[in-house]
Amino acid sequence: MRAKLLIVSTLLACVCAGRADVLDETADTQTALDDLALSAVGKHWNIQTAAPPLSALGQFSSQLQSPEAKALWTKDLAELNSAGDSPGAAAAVGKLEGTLQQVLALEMLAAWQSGNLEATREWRASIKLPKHASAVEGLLALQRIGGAADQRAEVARMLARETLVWQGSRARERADDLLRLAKADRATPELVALRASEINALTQFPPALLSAAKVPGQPAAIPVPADTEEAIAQWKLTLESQLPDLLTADDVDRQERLVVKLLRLVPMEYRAGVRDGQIVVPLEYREAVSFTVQAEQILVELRPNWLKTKGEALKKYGADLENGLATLEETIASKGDILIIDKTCKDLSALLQDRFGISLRKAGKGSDVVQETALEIRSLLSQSLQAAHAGNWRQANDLRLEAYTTFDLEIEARVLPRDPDLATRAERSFLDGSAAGPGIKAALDQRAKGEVLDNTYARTLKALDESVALLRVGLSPTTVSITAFTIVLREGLEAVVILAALLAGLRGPENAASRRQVGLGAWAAIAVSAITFILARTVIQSLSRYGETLEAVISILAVIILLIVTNWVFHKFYWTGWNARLRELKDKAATQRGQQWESLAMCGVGFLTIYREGFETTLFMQSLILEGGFTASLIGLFAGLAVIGLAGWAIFTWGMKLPYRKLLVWTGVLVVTILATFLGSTVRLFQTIGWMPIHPIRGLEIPTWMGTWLGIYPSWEGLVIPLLGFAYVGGAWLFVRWQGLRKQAAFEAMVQSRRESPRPTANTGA
Amino acid sequence: MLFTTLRPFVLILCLAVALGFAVPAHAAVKNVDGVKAYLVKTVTKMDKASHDFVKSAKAYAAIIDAYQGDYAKAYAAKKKEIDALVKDMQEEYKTMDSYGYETVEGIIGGVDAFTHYDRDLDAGVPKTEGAENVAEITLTLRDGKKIDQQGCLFTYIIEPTLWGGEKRWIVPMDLNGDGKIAPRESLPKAEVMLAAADDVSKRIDALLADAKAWKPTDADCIAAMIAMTPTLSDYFEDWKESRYSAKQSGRFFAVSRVSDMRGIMGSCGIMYLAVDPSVAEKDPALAKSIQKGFEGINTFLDKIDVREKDGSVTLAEIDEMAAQAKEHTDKLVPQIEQAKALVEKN
Repeated sequence: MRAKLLIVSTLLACVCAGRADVLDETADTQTALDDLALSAVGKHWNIQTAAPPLSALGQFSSQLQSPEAKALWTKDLAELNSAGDSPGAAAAVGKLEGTLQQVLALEMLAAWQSGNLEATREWRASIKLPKHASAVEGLLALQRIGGAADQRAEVARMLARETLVWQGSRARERADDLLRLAKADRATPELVALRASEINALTQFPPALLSAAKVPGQPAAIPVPADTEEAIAQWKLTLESQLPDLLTADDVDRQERLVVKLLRLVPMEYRAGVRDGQIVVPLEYREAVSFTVQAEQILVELRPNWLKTKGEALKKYGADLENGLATLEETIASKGDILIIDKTCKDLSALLQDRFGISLRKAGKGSDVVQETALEIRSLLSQSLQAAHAGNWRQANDLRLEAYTTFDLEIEARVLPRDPDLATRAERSFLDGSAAGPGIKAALDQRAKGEVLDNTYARTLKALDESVALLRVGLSPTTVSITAFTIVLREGLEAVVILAALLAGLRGPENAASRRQVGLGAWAAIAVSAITFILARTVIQSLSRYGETLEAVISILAVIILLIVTNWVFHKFYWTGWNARLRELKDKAATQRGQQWESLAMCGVGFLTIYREGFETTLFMQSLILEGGFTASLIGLFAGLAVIGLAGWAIFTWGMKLPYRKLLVWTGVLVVTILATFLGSTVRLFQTIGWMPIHPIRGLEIPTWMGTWLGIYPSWEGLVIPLLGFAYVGGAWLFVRWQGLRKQAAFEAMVQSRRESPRPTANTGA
Repeated sequence: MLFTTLRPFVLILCLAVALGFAVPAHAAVKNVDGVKAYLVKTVTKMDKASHDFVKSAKAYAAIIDAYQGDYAKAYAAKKKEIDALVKDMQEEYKTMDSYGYETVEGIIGGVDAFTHYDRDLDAGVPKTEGAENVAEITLTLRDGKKIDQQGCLFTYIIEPTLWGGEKRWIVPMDLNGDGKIAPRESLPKAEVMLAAADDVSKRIDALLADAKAWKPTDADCIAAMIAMTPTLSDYFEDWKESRYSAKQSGRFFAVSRVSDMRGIMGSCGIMYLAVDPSVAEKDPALAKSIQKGFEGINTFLDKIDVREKDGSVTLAEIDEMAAQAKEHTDKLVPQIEQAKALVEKN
């Protein structure tokens, strides 16, 4: 009977498969193995009845491309084909079950290394996963990075490491299950042979996989234990102690802190999300679920390390940890009492801190802060959402701003060079939003409620997750240098272009003083930027928190200075080009006052134009150095400086060759453009820090580069205020011209009247 | 002899039919509106059955009342009518629960807006079993007595009462006239049936209204799948308990728990079909793998059904099947989480 069923199920599996690909073939292979396992465990093993599934297993080898995978599979399949009795078959089937997962991982890596993204995904999707597998980051890395050649090795490392974690975790779970069966006196010799062989094979990671994951060593094979509780318990301990430890000391430290933080956040999220057994804020509830799962995943990752470093604690309290987390998960799933959740989390935290010696105090070099920062942002956003639901709009906005500034410097700065669209989308989700819906700031300004509000925050959290996933793939030194180069270019080019044009406009000995003042301001800004960089690294780490506010203040000063400069350019243009004679008629005192203002303005424009960008660049560079190292960042920084220096020199040289009047026209256009850009980006900053409301223009999509380079963003304030800038410039120009014409007319009238008036005669009086 | 010869082919046919029918039922769902349509259609059937159940319970109570609550006299005089009414109530129960609720439990138990129905109808436990997930069900019987938080309506009250699994709410009776009263041979207490029928019909009315008002989203479906897919392992435990454990629980007599498992995983599969196009657009391999995962679970459950009907399964095989069931769902949950990451839009 069972034999017939075996044949039927295998045939049906083949018939139903349709177009056979990697996924179909793997599923059929898995089904065949499951059937054989039942047959062996049920003591019905018979090589004749096993022939169809064995044939399916043989066919699977035709799918394999990796020589290592093929050799592994063929060898273990031969063992199964020669199995004589049920216990022997159980051991061989179990081994092949474990080997299958190694084979799938090898094929995935081979496909990835050959640049075949689709095949990589198919093999990856075929691999068995433990319940708490952390698999999203790998998926998103493939999604975002795709076939990018410079990141291939890093992604391969990530893919290899995640399979090591998955299969290590599965091995442990299955060993736990086997031990439970042994304790219940239900571990038959066949079951023990099946499971232990599978678990052994799961932990026998192929060298290519370990090498891709950059993990040294190879766990030794351990003989299958006898079917007694003691033997299985001993075997399990030995096996677990051999699982590869994938975490560095810093990773361990960071993950340990993270798990305690997560346990602190779970009750907060749950309390906000669930009332009287009902979900009131789904987003908060989902966060509580997600944080619990994350804590479980982290403990899975920490376990191999703890076996070596905290073996005693793990032996004594490991089960308490697992049970506590299981209770937490169940209570959350059943929307149970918050008091239970509170107590469970407190107990778990106490256990981790008292028995496992985990401290929340930050230690280590502070690198790889992304995950922790993301958690902090999530927590802030969660509090912001709670405040918004309670109608505390101001508090909600303050918390949003804090979340945003943290995101901006720690995460967006890293994401921007790798995926500008994601960075912009994420940033906009904090502010005005996109076609998908309003951003948080816009939603808060509109006093949005209920689902709209929840969805708004959910979009930001999603963008945050995507960003974190992207950043989990390590940076190569080349990428770090390119990133630094891009940052300097993006931040510095605008400033250098305007300065070079201005300096070219200030040619001639009569402008030497003005040139000196612009230069002085620029050099001062570079010096202050360097000081900011040093201070931010050493003394005032918290400076970044005020980054947006300081930038807004600097920007408004820059706008004021630019307005003065604009005015000056028009005066200069008019005076120089249209009526040089007027210079002779300037009131001396007024000229002196004007020159003083002009000097200040020149110095200010030099300083603020550079420092406005220099300040942000230093903060961005801080993040990059933390992530990618000092040398690589410095190379990129200097390369960027060289390029913008060259661009500045080219513009300056070109400007010097232009006729003076033409140059002034160019400078005027440039200054006006920059003024509009400054106004647009200053409005944006004001909206970011909550000094100005935001009214998004729905349906208006403006390309990212227009925001970056021209300060144009799709909100009413963002479009109208720069236009007002243009109106001011136009008005100022007309005013200057009208004034000039009036003075010219008055001058000409005066000349005319002087010509017409009779010459004074010699004194005739005696 | 003939049966023995034909049995393999009957089983093959069952398996093929099960596999064949699994697809068209799901194929109609192409988006979340399809999930809602499926839910409303199923709950409408449940609702009709619940009102029929009220009528049958009233008719049954009327007969018992006519004999002043003497069940023996009533049965002696109206055996045919009582048997028919009990049979009707059992069938109505199956329509409400096994062929109704269980086929949408993945949705009701998983979608935040409906989870309290799951607790009160199907999943909530008595308060004596702990503080967690206690069903908020208090039935006031017509004599003023209360059944207070003794578990959810389907699993803990109606089914054990109709199938003789709960001593407090049945009257033991020799129904087949063999002179003996077998362990579950009994009639349900009329007052319990009346109160339970009234309560369940009101709750299903409310569920139907909520289902019609539901505005489904991809996020609802994904969250429901993540919550409900792992429950397969719990159901497996129930199945072991109800069919193979030496000490039977008194529950899950109406139909095998395998049918419930198929129902719940089927409804998860239906929800997945609603989001599949969005996942497939971004990662066809993941989409196909999840689909195959749900199909694989159904095929696996069908095989278990066949083995169960075949009769003899060893404990070791049950343990191995339980492990295989867990492996199926263990893989699916993180894959659905990956799908979630792909589907959620900014």
